[in-house]
Amino acid sequence: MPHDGEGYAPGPHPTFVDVQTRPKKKRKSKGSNDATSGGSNGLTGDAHNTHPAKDTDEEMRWGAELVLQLALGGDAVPTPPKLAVPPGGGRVSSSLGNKGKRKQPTQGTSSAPLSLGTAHVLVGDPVVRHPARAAVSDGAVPDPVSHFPTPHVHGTTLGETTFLREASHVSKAPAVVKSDAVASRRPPSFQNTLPPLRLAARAALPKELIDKPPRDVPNVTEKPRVIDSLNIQLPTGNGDSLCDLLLAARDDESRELNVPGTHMNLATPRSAGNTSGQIAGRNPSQSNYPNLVDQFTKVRVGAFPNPTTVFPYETDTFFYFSQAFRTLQATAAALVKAHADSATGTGGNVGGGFDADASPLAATARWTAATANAMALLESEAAAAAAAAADGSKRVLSSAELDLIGLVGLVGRAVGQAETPVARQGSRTAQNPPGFSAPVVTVPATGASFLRRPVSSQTASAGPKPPPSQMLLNLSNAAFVRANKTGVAKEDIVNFVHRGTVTVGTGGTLSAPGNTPSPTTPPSAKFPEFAPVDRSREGYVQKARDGSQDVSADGHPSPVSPFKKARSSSSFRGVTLHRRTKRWESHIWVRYGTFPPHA
Amino acid sequence: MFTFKRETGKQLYLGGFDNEAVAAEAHDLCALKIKGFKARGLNFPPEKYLHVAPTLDAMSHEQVVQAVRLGKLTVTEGHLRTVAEGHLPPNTTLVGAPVG
Repeated sequence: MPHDGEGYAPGPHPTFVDVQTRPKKKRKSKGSNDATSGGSNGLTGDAHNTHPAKDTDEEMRWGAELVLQLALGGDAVPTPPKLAVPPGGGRVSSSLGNKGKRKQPTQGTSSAPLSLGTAHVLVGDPVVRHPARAAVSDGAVPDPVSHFPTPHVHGTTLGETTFLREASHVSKAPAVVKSDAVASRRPPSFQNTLPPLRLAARAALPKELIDKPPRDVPNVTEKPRVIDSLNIQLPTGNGDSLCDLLLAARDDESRELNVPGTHMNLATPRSAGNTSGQIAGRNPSQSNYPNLVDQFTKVRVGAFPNPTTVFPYETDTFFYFSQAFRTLQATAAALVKAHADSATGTGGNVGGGFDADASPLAATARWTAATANAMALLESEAAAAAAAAADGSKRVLSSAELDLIGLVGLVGRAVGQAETPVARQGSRTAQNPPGFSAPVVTVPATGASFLRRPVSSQTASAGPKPPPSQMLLNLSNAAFVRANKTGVAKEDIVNFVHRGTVTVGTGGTLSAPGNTPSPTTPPSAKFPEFAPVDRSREGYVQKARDGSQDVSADGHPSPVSPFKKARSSSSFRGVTLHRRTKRWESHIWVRYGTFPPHA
Repeated sequence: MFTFKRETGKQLYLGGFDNEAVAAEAHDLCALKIKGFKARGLNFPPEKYLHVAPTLDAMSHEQVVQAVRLGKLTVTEGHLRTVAEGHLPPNTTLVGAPVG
């Protein structure tokens, strides 16, 4: 009953009250008030009238200084007045009832008797406290383990609060108190036996210890990930490995194709000069594929395309350039020669000398044969270029290649084949000069439907032949003649930038539906890397899965806007288009399993 | 280490590429490494990756994925079929053929 004497607690007056022994002054110190309520304190007499006014002022001053220190973030906690809180009972009250004094540091060891006056002597420690806590109160270095040995057990005798409860209160305190009495702001974790490193101590550590602190339990079961450079051995004995299977497939393929130097040659002795010394001592029977490995030792190519290279194209682009240019030269020469031959043969129509002895039919046959030869050459090259363009799917065709495709269309019209969209598309005239820089032709591979047509001398002669005059007239429209500017349709130019689609037809050749497969050698035989995906091979994603956009049901390509259509997805498996970055992203579905799966 | 799981799994990012075909090759390389030679659903016939096979065998799954993701492991098209092999981990070197 601390307030019964204040006047506003109208309780019954104590029965036996000696007026003479009542204190002269009002009690202002709560500690002294609580000291009376604490029954276990060993105060021998009445402590009420033993608190002078100067002690209260000193306590208030100390409290103000403490608040100031806390507000300023200082570390120095002012020394509490000796008589502000009496030991023992004062601690009980502050921890139980008065939360405002929570951060008030505990006093020194209360076992020492404090002089409250001449008449009152504190005998003994009224509160049996935990020794670890007492040590902290003495200013000992807080060690998390020894300081809180029983964190989960409610704690101390005589109703003192446990650590956990007090710690939770402390963690709610907004101010930073670096007092020894408040050892930790969080519930201690007892896994770490070391106190947390402060910044200064951390900075004093060597850097490698800061970067990689020593772990308690080293993970010795973890396998080293770094492949030793000299321990890599090419797979030899394991027939199930990927390398073996692939190499066996390559071996079979190279034997079939009779490509020298690609299939394994076990009998060929190899000199020790071209290999490193480490390999020199190895058993030769360990590798069955010396040729393949030799490629790896010799060919070391960095990042591709090489950014330091001036030539901004890929290597195959350069290859296409050279091939197309060479083909164009040869074809132009052949066509001009054929033109000249037919002009001399049927000179009456054109203005040359008419040879009555030469049959016009024979001249036409000669012309057709020469053109067919040129077309055969053209066809393979243009088909290769078109297939490659379809394979790359985004490549600016060179002017030589555009010339090539245009030439194919022109000659096809001149020979008298049916008007295919490709031929229309490919025909180039003087309004579309060779220097015409077309925009990005994404896939100009609709030419495949024409290119796959059998162009042999028999087929050409068996087909519907126009009169020689018409043939010559059409030939005069050729790009390299540039004499006649008539007969140029605008849709030719528009269709020239037509975005086509590769239709991977049956048999793995580029063909439009409805066309008979070509008896001529496919370009894939000449350029195996340009071979389209064979439908007969199971499991391969067909590239032209979205071909329904451009090819209608009857197989003829529908007219498409020359403007490039934004693509949103890929026809490849595992490839998506990131809309924002406009990049193609690759994914694969995996799960995390045990290591390693094959060994 | 990665193994393939059909029903449920995680989508492993293999990098972004400017070229669609290169992205498809990246998928194929990782599929060949993870699923093996008999992997179905390749974008290109596996004969295309013959010359990469020793590299794939020499590298671990993580290394293949990392190299592909960084764009260091590519299969170039064209008649020059080479492997850009500057991609291998630091202490890794493809060792040449043993002397026969």
